[in-house]
Amino acid sequence: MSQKDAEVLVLRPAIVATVIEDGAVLLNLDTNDFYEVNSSGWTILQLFEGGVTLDEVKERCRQWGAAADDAAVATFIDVLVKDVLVARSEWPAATADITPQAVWSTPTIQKAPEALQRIVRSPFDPTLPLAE
Amino acid sequence: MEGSRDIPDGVDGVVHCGPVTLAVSAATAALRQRTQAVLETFGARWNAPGPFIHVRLHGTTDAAVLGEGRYLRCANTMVDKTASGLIATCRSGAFAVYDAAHRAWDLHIRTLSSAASPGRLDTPAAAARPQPPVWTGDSVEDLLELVLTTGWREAGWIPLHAGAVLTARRCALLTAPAKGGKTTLTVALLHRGWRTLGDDKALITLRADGSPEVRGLTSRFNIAPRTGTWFPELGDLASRPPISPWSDKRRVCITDVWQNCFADTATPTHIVLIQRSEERRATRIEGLKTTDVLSALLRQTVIPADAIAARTILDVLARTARSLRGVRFEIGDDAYSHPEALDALDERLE
Repeated sequence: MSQKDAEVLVLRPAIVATVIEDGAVLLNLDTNDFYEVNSSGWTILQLFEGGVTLDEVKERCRQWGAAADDAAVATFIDVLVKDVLVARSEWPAATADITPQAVWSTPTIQKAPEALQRIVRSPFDPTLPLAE
Repeated sequence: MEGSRDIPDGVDGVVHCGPVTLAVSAATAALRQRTQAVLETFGARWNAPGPFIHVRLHGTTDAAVLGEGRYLRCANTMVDKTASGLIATCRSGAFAVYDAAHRAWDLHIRTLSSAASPGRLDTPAAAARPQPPVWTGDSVEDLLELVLTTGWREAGWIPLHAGAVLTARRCALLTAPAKGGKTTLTVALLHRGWRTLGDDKALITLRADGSPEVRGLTSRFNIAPRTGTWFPELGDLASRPPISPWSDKRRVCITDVWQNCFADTATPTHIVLIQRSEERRATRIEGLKTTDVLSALLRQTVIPADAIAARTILDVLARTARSLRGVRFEIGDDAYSHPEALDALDERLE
């Protein structure tokens, strides 16, 4: 077990999510990037809501049906870390008792190619402000 | 502004803007007129207007320091959260304070003379730089839009900067970048017998059964004069005054042109992403993936950097996206001069 895998990671408060039929949509309020995750991806993400170690995530995924050392799980977690959707927590892990809502499948996370506008024209108009 | 028996004490008038009702008082006649002009463009009266939102406009010579915009960053206005609600500060020096518990806004608008030298530009280096003109009127519009969008979200409705057209069985949301052709396509479809909920302002929510509902806010369209050359029933648009010093568009009450074309409510079935084509007479249609539909919807609304507000918006739009079929529609500038140009779109929206 590496030290990194024993660190507790938590979903950052700037990340908001809504559940849809086959997964969830995430929005990063700091960057205005948004993502779609499938059902297994959302199951993994829920582990991070209370704080969890990567070792625990991998173990849970194995219990849910992922292969040992599943590359897709590692890739999924890499995106969460690289895009700073999760961050290190000083608090102990408080892993929730999550039950997958669907048969286990390869977790996927798809980032929209373009973030939403961070500066908008007006409180009603979300388009890019034009230069004066 | 409407006079009514139920006007609260000290209020100049009551204005219905969809699901919210504003009780407005203004310190001067000029502020009152400007407020009325802005609110007219959101002025649909729904059957069950909500509780009053108090809006008090004050003239001021004080200039607010521009905030950080941690809640919302607009071109000319920054919005930040406070312990009791929100504070908005404008580049003109105007500012607004929202007391959420009392549903009351105080808008402090600088007069043109005081706005000519905003207090925030008090360093010699800043004062030496050329500055864009300060238009107090812009601040009134921005701040009233903030009042309305906040009130609509609190009432469970998400503002959409989109047009909406419908027939008996279908309703398409029309989306485009600024000046991207929403109004012209809306008019073209009205010409073909469709109806509308409006050309660029709509509200959307989820019904109790989870299905989306979209409603319109105004039957007043802002139409480019050139549109009249393709659709003569619009009359001589060029003879009407421009809507502002910054826009060549002309205001038209669309029900004066096509009676009974304005509908109250609909269930959206499609979304059309309009794109200008470099080929002047061309039209091209292709389907959108669900991801693109969600992206198109999210780009038509303003999402504050506030977890509770953002989650509600995300929830409504993500569920709506799942129920919509999307198409990308490219159209050249001259395509509207050919009546058959929209046949394929009409067919695709079946």
